[in-house]
Amino acid sequence: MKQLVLYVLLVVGSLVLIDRLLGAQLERVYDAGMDGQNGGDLNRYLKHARPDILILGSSRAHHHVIPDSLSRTAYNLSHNGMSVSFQAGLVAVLNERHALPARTLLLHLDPDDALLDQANGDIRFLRRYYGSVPYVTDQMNELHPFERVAFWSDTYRFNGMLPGLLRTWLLSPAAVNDGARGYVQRADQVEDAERTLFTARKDSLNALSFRSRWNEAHVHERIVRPVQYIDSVCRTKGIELVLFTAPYYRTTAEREAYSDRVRALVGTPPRWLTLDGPSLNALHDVTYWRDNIHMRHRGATVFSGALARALELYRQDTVTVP
Amino acid sequence: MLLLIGSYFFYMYWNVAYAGILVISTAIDLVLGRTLLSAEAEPRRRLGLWISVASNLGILFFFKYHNFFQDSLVAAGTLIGVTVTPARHEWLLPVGISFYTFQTLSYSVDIYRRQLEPERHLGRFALYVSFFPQLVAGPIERASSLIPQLRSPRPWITQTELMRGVSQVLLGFFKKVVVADTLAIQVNSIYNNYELQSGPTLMFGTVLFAFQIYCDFSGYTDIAIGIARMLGYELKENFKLPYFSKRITEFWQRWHISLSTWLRDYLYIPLGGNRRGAWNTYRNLMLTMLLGGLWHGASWNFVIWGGLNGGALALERGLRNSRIMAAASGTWLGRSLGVMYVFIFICITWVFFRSQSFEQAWTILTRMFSFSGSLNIQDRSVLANILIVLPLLLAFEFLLQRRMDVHVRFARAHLFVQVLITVFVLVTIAIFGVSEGSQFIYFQF
Repeated sequence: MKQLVLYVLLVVGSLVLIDRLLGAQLERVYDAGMDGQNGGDLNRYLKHARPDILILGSSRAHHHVIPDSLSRTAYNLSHNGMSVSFQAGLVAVLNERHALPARTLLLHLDPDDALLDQANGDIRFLRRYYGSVPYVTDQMNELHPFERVAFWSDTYRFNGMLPGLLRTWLLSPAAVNDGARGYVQRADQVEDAERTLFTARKDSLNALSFRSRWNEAHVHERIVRPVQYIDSVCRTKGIELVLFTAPYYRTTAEREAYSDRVRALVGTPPRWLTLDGPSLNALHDVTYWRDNIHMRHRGATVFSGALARALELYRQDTVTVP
Repeated sequence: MLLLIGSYFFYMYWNVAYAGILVISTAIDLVLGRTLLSAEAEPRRRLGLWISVASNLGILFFFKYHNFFQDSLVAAGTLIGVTVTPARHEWLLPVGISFYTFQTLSYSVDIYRRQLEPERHLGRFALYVSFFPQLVAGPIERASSLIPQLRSPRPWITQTELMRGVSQVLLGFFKKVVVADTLAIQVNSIYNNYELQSGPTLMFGTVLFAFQIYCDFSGYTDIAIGIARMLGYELKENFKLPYFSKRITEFWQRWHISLSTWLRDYLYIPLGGNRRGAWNTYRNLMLTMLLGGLWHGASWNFVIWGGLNGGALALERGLRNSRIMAAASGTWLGRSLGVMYVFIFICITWVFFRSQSFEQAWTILTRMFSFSGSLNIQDRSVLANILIVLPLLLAFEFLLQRRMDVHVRFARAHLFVQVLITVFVLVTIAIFGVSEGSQFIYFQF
C-alpha cells in the first residue's frame, strides 16, 4: 500500500513537472513557427500584417481569393478544412491580439457546413489559446466535459501537433517573406478535369438528400451562432462584415434551396455578396477547376476579380441581397 | 453488489431502456439453467436448451438481423420480379448484445452438457452477464471461468497484480487513443473518397486499417483485462500478436481468441468438427466462419469476409500434410514468407470488413490490384504522427513476440522505472492522442 501511494505521488509529481516543462517548450516552438496551419500562418499574420481587408474561410477561400485583387494590403488568413466555428475562434484570437482588419472582414461561409458533424470541433485547432482567449475557452469547454480536465495538462494544448510544429519551426525562416499575403497557389494536375467531373457527379448524388438532412438546431449551433459572434465583434470594432460563398463547378437545386434556408436563418446584417452574372461565366468551363468545389489558379483569378467588383458595388450600396 | 450496480450504471449511461434487455436475457438463462439441472428426462432438458437458444438468438436476431434479412428479402424479390414490402424497425442496436448473448448462450449449453453447475445467486449471475469491463466488446467469458472468481473474490489485491493491471490499461489506452485513432483519420480520409484514390493509396489505407482495427480492438481488450485485474479478476487474453501468424489457422488461434474458441466449442464441434471426413470438415469450417462473419454485422460484406477466412482455413486444412506447409514452417525464410502471406491475405479480407458495400469493396480491390497511379497522402501531419507512434508500438510488440511478459516485468520493475514508463505513456497520450472521442470499432457489434 505504501509503495502504491508513493507510485501515485511520484507519477503525479513527475507528470506535472514534465508536462509544464514540455508545454513551455512546445509553446516557444509554436510561437516561433511562421508557416502552415499549425499556428504558423496565424503567427505570421500577427507579426507582419495589418490589412484593410481580411479574408477568412476554408480552402474555398484560401485557394480562391487573391488578396491583390481586393486591395494592396488585403490578407487571406483562411485555413483549409475549417468551418465557421473555427473562424469565430480565430476572430476572438485576433480581437484579443488587436489584430483585426482596419475596414472589412470578408468571411467565406459554406451553408452546407451545417451538415458536418465535426464542424464545432474545428475550434480544437485553436487549443493553444485555451485559457487566454475567453471565447475559445468557452467553446472548447462546451465540446466535452473531459476538455476542462484535459487542459490541466499544458502539453495537451499541442495535442496532435508535434510533427507539424517541428516542421513549421524548421521551415519558417524561408516562409517569413509572404508576398502573396496568405494566398496559396496550387499547381495544376493532369487529372484535374477528370476529378472535377467525377466529384460533380458524386456531389449531385449526395445533394439529393439535402432536404431530408435539414436540421434547424444544427444550423443555429454550427453556423448562426458563430456568425452572430463574429458580427458582434465586428460591430464593436466598427468593422464591416461581409459574407460570401464561392461557386461550385456544378451545383444542384437542392443545394441552393438548402443554402437559401441557411442564409435566411443567418439573416441580414451581416450582408451577403451576390456573386453571379456574366463575370463568372468562364467558370462553367471545366478547365478552371481542380474538383467540383475548388478552382485552379486561373479560376481563382476570375473569381477574385468578380469578388472585388461585388465588394465595390456593395460599398456603393448597390449590392443585391438574396 | 457494488460491481453489479456499477455495471448496470455503466450500461444505462448509454441507454437506460436497453438495460431491460440485459435483465430479460439474465432472467431467462438463470431460470433455464436451474431447469436444465433439475430436469431428469432428456427431452425436457433438450426443450430447455432450445428455449435458451431460441430466446437468446431471437433477441439478437430481432435487434441485429431483422432489417438485414428484410432488405435481403426485398432484394431477392426484386430479382425475381416480386414486390415485397415488409416492415422495418428503427430500434437501435443494443451495445454489446452480440457479446453478452454469446456469454449467456454458452452458460446454458455448458449446463446442458453437464460441464457446469448453474449459478443460484441472482446477483452473481447478473454480474457475470453484465460485468462492466468486458460487457460491451468482450472478451466473451465462459461461466466456468468467471463465476467461480465472482463467488470467491480475492481478499486483497497484491501490488504486483495491481501494477500488472495498470500496465495493461496504459498499453490499451496507448493502442486506442494514440495509434488506432490516429490511423483512423488517415484510413477514413482514404476510404471515404475511395473513388478518387490510386491503387497504391488504397493499399496503404488498407494496411493502415489492419493496424487500426488491431490496435482498436486489442486496445479495448487490454483496458478491459487491466481494469478487471485491478479489481482482482482474471479475464481471458483475446489477442496473441496475430499479425505474427504464419498460417490463417494460426491467425484465428491468436485473433479474437474468445470468439474463435466460442465458435469452435459451440458451433464447429457440434456440427461434427473434423470427425466425419475431409469434405464435412471443410463444410464445417466454412459454415462456422460464415456465421462468425455474420456475427460481426448484419451485412453481406461480413459474410464474404467470413467466407474468405473459412475458405483459407479449409485450404490450409487440405494442405496441412503437404510439402509446401512443411517448408513454410521449417525455415526462417519459410516462416517469414508465411507471416507475409497471412498479413496480405488478412488485409484483402479487411477490405470487405471496412467497406460499406460490396460495390465499394470490389472497386477498392480492383483498383488495388491494378497497381496504377502513385501513392498520394493527403494529410501529411497525421502521417507524421503515425510514423512516430506506430514504430513505437511495433517495437513493443516485437518485445512481446520475444516472449517477454512486459506486464509482469513492469509490475516487478523498480518503482522509478514504473513511474518513468507511466509518465512517458501519459505524456505521449497528451501529445499524440486523438481527442475527438471516437468509439471502439467493436462497440457496433
